[in-house]
Amino acid sequence: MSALRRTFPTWVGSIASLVRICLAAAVLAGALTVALRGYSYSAPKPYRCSTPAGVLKVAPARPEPLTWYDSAHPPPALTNQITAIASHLYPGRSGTMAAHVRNTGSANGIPSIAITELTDGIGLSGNIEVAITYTSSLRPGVTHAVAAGTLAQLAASGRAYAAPVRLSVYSACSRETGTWTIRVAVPESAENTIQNQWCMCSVRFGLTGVPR
Amino acid sequence: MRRGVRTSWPRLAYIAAVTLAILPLAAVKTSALWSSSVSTTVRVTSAEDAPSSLHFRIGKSKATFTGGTGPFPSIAHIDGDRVWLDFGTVTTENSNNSPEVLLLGNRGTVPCTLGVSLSSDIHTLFSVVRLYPDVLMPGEASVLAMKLDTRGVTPGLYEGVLTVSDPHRNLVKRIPLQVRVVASEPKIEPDLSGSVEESGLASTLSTGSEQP
Repeated sequence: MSALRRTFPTWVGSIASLVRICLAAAVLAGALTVALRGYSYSAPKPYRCSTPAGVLKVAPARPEPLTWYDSAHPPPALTNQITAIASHLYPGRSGTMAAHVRNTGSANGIPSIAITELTDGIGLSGNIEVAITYTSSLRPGVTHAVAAGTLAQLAASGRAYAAPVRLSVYSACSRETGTWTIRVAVPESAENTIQNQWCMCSVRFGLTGVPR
Repeated sequence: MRRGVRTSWPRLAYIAAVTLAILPLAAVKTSALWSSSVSTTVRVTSAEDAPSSLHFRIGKSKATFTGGTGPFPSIAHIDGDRVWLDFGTVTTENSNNSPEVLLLGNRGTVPCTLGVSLSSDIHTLFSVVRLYPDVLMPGEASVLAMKLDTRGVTPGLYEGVLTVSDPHRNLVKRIPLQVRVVASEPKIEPDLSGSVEESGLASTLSTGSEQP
């Protein structure tokens, strides 16, 4: 009996050490994950069905009826909404594009927008003023100014501009739809050097999880 | 050995407690890990060079050469890129309309808003200077109408500039303009009442001298 007493605690001690090592490894892995990926707006991450996560859908405001797109099926160019303007910008001219967003996942998120992959000739993007606003269908009278500056500035910042409100999961209880509005304008002070120029960029709509 | 085993139990309890405390925090933190994004494109092109898309054609309005014999030439003259207006020789009583001095065509693909103005040295000679329509649609033409009004103008050669421009001054076309004003032909009215000597007017008018 005394021999058993001596053996049992030793065995438990080994288990304890093993548990200790596993917990340390888990905590370290968790810390590394948070440190490296926690608030990144980079490429969409695959998620497990068991983990709550948001899924972003985007629909250009025109043409109607709305068609919802996702990362696997990207929407057409936003400038298709203002073809006549976007294809012939000149000083004093402006146009507004809009895109609706929905969260069809299982967790609320913060919508964001980023201007990326700018390709420019000799400076047209520096002469295009951009103003980006966000509106939630839950509070249609409230418009949030999210970003403003020239197209070149917004692209160079490398930032994802987050809306100051959450986008809740689209469900029977909360049919929330967000609307991004992008106004582009060429100021009247623009010089003739912008004539016959073009530029192209990507607009990346994002949805990022938030601590509950 | 026994002492070591005894001390591992509190350690195990401590680790378990810490783990239980950390795991919820980690779960909260990991809920922010997910992100979803959808990209689209924006492509803009600036308008082409406006001056190259604007062209001039001679209108139907003819010049006047007092004392000359017709047919008179058109007011507008075009030689390559040069455009000028010559209203000819008119008397100080001229107030004729020139409803189609010049035609301005838009060969481009961008609507162009145009305005016309006269330099200060001649603007008092014209009571009407109008371009209609002032918004020049692609493929269409605007008509420049002018009305010369030389009543009360001192005879002489008047030279100035007609400027065609858009509101942003991307397009500025300066068109030289000239008109020679001569004294009016005296009007000899039939004398119905008495002798020429009696009125004293005919001799005065025939010499071209002015009445006080």
